[in-house]
Amino acid sequence: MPALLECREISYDYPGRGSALRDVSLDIVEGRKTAILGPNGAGKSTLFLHFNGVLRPKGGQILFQGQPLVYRNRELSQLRKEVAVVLQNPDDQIFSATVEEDVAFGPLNLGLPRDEVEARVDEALALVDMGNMRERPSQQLSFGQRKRLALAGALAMRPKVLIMDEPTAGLDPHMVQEVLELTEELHMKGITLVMSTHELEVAYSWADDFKVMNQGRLVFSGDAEGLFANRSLLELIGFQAPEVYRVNEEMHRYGLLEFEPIPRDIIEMRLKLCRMSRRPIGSLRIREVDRERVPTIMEVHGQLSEGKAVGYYGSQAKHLLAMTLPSDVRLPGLKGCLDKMIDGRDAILYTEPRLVPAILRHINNLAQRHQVAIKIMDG
Amino acid sequence: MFELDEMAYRSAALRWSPAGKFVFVLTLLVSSLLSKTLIIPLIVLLLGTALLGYSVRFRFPMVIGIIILEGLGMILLGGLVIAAVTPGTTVGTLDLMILQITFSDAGVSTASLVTLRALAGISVMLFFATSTPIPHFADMLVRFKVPKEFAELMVLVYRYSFMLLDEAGKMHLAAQCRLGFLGRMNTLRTYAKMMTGMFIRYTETAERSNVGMQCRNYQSSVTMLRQPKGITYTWAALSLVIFATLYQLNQLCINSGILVG
Repeated sequence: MPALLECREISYDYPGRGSALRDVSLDIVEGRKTAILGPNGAGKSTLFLHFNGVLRPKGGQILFQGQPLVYRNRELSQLRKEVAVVLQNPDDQIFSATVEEDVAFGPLNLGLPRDEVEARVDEALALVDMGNMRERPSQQLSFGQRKRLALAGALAMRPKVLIMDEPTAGLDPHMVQEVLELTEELHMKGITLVMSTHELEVAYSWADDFKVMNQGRLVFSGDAEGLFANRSLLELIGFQAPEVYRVNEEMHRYGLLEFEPIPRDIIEMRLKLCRMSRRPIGSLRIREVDRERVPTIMEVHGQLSEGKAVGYYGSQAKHLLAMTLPSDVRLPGLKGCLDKMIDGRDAILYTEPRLVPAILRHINNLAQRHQVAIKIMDG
Repeated sequence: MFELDEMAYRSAALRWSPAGKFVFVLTLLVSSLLSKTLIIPLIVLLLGTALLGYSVRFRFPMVIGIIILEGLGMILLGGLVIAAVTPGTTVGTLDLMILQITFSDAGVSTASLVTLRALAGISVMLFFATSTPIPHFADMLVRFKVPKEFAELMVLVYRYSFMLLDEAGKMHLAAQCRLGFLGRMNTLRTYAKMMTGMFIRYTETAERSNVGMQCRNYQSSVTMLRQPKGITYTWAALSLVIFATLYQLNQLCINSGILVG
C-alpha cells in the first residue's frame, strides 16, 4: 500500500518554547492503523497539526498522496476535508451550542448543500451512537459524550485519514472498548487511522504500525514485536511491554508455550492455548442486518439463537437490534463472540452487509495466525 | 445559568420565531410602560405569566422561583420607598418604634403602578429568556442587521462561559481541598489567584479552540444548520393589534378614572 501522508525531515519550534519536532521522517500507510506513542511533550500533537496543515513546518516537507502540501486557503480546505483531526480535549473542538450544529460545523464550512449536510450529520451521529441527542446543548453532555461528539464532528467530513489524539484518554473501560470498536468499523470501511496514546495495551491490540516519539524526535518505526524487543527504548520512553506480551514471554521462558505467534490481546492468548490443548472452538454464524431485514430477523432470532451467544458488530447493527434483541455478549461484539466461541459455545454475530468481508478476513487471519479451525456458517 | 439554558432548549415555545417573540414581548413592555392605569400592567402580567407557564410547560423550576423572589424583594422595596417619599395627602402610617413612615395617596398610586409594571416586565422577559436559547437570539440579531461578528462573538462567549464556570468550579474545589478559604485574608488571596489562573487558562483555551476550528475548516463565519424561524406578518400584526388594544384600553380607563396610577 502507498503512503498517504509522508513527513520528510520536518522540524518545528514554538516561539519561546524550544524545539517541538526535530527532523521527523515517517510515512502513514493507506489502509493501516498507526499508533503514535511517546511520553507527554514528545511532539505527537504538534505532529498531528502538521498533517492537516494547521501548523507549517519550519524545515522539511509534508506530502499528502505524494504531493507536497500547499498552504493556501483553497488547498488547505481540500486537505482538511481528507485529513480530519480529533483533538485530545473535546472542549477544544466543540463550540457550537447543540450537538447537531457542532457536527454540521465542518460540512457547512465546506459549503455543502443542506441536504448533504443533514445526511452527514445523521450518518456521523449514528456512527457514534448519538442519534437521539441531536438537539441536546453541547454543554450538557458528559465527558464521554463530548468525546464521541468530537469524533462525530471529524467523521462528518468523511475523511480519508482520521487522526485521533488520545481518543481513549479519560474514558471508562466500557467506553474505551466502544471507541476501539468504532475505529475498527471505520477501518473496515476503508478509513486510514492514526492514533496517539499512552496506553500501550490499547495500542498493541489495535495498531498495525507503531511509531515512537521522544523529545520531538522519531525514535522508532516498525511493528509491535520490534518495539517490545527493544527494551532500552521502552525504558527510555518510560513504557513497559503489554501484560499479554509479557505473560507469553514468561510462559515461553518456562517452556509452557511457544513464543510465536505472539498474542495481541487476551482473545488471541486464549486461541493460542486452545490450539495447544486441542480444545474445539464453537462456530460463528454471521447474519447480515439492515432496516429491511429487521422483521425477518426478529421472527427467526428466537429459534436461531437458542443456546448461542449473540453479538452485534458495527454501529448500524447495534442501532437496529441492540434495543430489541437481547445479547449476552458484552461489547465489542466480534471479540465478545470469539470469547464465547473459545468457551465452546456457538455464536451469532449480526452486522451490516458491507462489513462482512472484512470480518471474514479478520477471522481467517486469526485462524491462520494461531492455526486453529474456526467454523463460519452462512447467514 | 445552566438551568435557564436547559429550560430554553426544552421550552414549548422553542420553535416560535425568536424575532416574533422579541417584538411581541417588546410591545407588551412598551404598552405597560406607557400606561397610566394599573389595568394595563395587570393584563401584561397575566399574559406574561400565562406565556411563561406555557413556555416551561407549567412546571416552574426552582431557578424561576429564585429569580422572581430576588426581583420581588427589590421591587417591593422600591415600591415602599416611592410610596414613602412621594408628597401628597397621607393615607397611612407605619410605626417602626424609632421612626414613623407615612404614605401619601399619590405615593401609593405611583408605587402600585411601578410595582405592577416591574412585575409585568419580569414575567414577559422571563417568558422570552426561558424560550429563546442564546444562539437563537444571536440569529435574531443578525436578522435585525446587527453585525454578524458581534452575534458570533456572543455565541462563543455563551459557549465558553459554561467552560469558564466549569473551570472556576474545579479551581474552587482544588483551593478548598488545600484550605484556600481558611481565614478572610487567605480567602481574598485565593480568589485573587483564581482570577489570575482563569485569565491564563482562558488565553490558552482560546488558542486551542482556534486550532480546533481550523481543523474543521473554519472560514471566518459560522453558519447555522437549523436556523430559527424569521418574523412573520402574523407576529407583526399580532403585536400591532395588542398594542392598539392596550392603548385604547388605557385611554378608556384614564377617561373613566378606573385604577389610574
